[in-house]
Amino acid sequence: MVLEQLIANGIIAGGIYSLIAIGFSMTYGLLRFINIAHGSLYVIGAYLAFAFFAAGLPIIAAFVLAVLGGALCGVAMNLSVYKPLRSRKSNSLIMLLASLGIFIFVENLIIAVFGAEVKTIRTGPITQGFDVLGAIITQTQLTIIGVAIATLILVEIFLARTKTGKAMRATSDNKDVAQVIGINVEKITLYTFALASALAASAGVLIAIEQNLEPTMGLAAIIAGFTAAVIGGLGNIRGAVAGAFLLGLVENIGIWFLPSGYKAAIAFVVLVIFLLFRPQGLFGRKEA
Amino acid sequence: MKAIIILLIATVFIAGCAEQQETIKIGAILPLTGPLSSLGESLQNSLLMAADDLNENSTNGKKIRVIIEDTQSDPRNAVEAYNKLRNIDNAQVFLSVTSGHVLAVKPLTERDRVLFFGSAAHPDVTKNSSLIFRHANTAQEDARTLADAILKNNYTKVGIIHINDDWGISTEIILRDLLEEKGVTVFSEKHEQRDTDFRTQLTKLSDADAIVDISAGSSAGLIIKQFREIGYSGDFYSGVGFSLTPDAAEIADSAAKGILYQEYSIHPEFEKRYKERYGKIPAKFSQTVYTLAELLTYSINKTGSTSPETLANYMKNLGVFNGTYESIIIMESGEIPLSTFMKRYE
Repeated sequence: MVLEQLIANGIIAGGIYSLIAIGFSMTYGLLRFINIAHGSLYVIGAYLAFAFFAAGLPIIAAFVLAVLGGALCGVAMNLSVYKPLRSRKSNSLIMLLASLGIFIFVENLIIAVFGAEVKTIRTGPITQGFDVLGAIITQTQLTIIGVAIATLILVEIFLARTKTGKAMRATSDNKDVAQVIGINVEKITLYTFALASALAASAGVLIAIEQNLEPTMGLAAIIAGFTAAVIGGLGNIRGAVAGAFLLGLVENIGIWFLPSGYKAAIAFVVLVIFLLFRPQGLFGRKEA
Repeated sequence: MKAIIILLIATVFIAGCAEQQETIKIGAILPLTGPLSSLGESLQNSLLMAADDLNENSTNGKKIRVIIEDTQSDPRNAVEAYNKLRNIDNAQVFLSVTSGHVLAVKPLTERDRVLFFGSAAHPDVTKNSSLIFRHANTAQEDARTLADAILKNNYTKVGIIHINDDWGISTEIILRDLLEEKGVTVFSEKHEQRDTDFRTQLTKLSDADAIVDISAGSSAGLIIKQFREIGYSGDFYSGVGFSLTPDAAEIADSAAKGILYQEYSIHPEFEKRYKERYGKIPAKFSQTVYTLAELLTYSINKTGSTSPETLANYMKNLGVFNGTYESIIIMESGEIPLSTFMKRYE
């Protein structure tokens, strides 16, 4: 029963991590910088859902509006900070520092608007979960897994089948060539930010319903997202998903043998192992 | 023109000195953000309410001013907060909560020989120090209260989940000893302050006859919620963390029904005034800092001194102090006991 439960816990954690890691990997693939502000969009999504739900909207409407709000915030971040920096040919270090600045700004803005205390979105009475193959999973967790899988499939279809999706992949592969063949790189960057931000916001809403929300929650999210993206291969979407589920499972099953205080340490050990022995990640290509 | 500028600077300087003489600055090192934010906010509000009340009723012109620094619920930030309050804000008296914060700051307050109100449960808070006062429950008392309640039932296996900080570790060690002494098998799991997913730890503890949670703030509520969600139906005990801040019960919601937890007393009039002023329920523990501010002001007025040694000696010799909302006993060791009792959550 313990192993089944730990696997289930790992899959649930992996579902959340994957939503963060995909967006993180998408922006990295396109712009080649570590966008720490991606964690802010996770927080923004959670707090927007809280605000809409507190205003009396049904949870599904709050979820949709929060995801759209997150996407808009991501676009705004791109237009107001990253685009001007790109036009000045700023290097990845400057972009990283700018994203750190946004991250801190958003955290403080959330504290100013919503207060520092922990908030909860209570969608119904707390009840015992269902028995699924020997593990107990709650309705909210089933929703998390369902939404995560559905989102991942939709993103995969969008990137593989649609013109915009293909343009996103082409731009991510080689920006210069994409520009030469007539792809509007700025427009694609905008779409990428919107999609990546929507995914981060959806992860934020799901975790807010499942656990709770507080202004500093973005840091843990960005660490998990970054680790998963590195494991999978930075810039690779399928890799990010695989990395996220692997991270979730390793963290949770690892503490079957070790004290649970080592959960975060396990994640970092995995990260270091990949950085040392397979820096290109599971699905990444070795740079020439 | 030069003479006017010099005169202005001198006036500001003299005014500053005068203000310094008449105002006693209390530097409060509190967790205003992060998982313990509801505790920090409530203590901050309580201190500010006390300062307003005491300043309004001041008859000798002496005022207290509370300066607050946030630690983000991370004891590592407490040292930085102390240095700022001490060196930049020139605070004279210090106050902090939770064992991690208090033990981090304690060596600095001893080095600087300043008065320190360390509201935390760890056994070492008042150890070998003449200028530290603790008005809080202690880890020994917490463990004893919990063990007494647990041992009334014939459990063979008890699981403990505790926060991985000074308070959590010390309480777990004492409680484990007390239970194992009576033949109970104890196994425990720890979690970090910022953790929000406890399912793996809870899964590992799920075949225990009873669970004891030694956590505080939002973690205390989330642990109860997640325990019920994974289908655990055994008895559940919570330390003071459950009643320390209102958010634990809010988060646990109906899942908390029937648990046994350690409870603080609060004066109804304090709760009413706090609610009128801030529009929310106070953390019950926050009444203690109101009383400490009263004790400090009373001692300064009686001794006419702000010397830490004079004030500490006066307070220790006072024995009993009757504050507006609670009467306290001050012991030679600097301990100001705060009792708790077990209660079933309805």
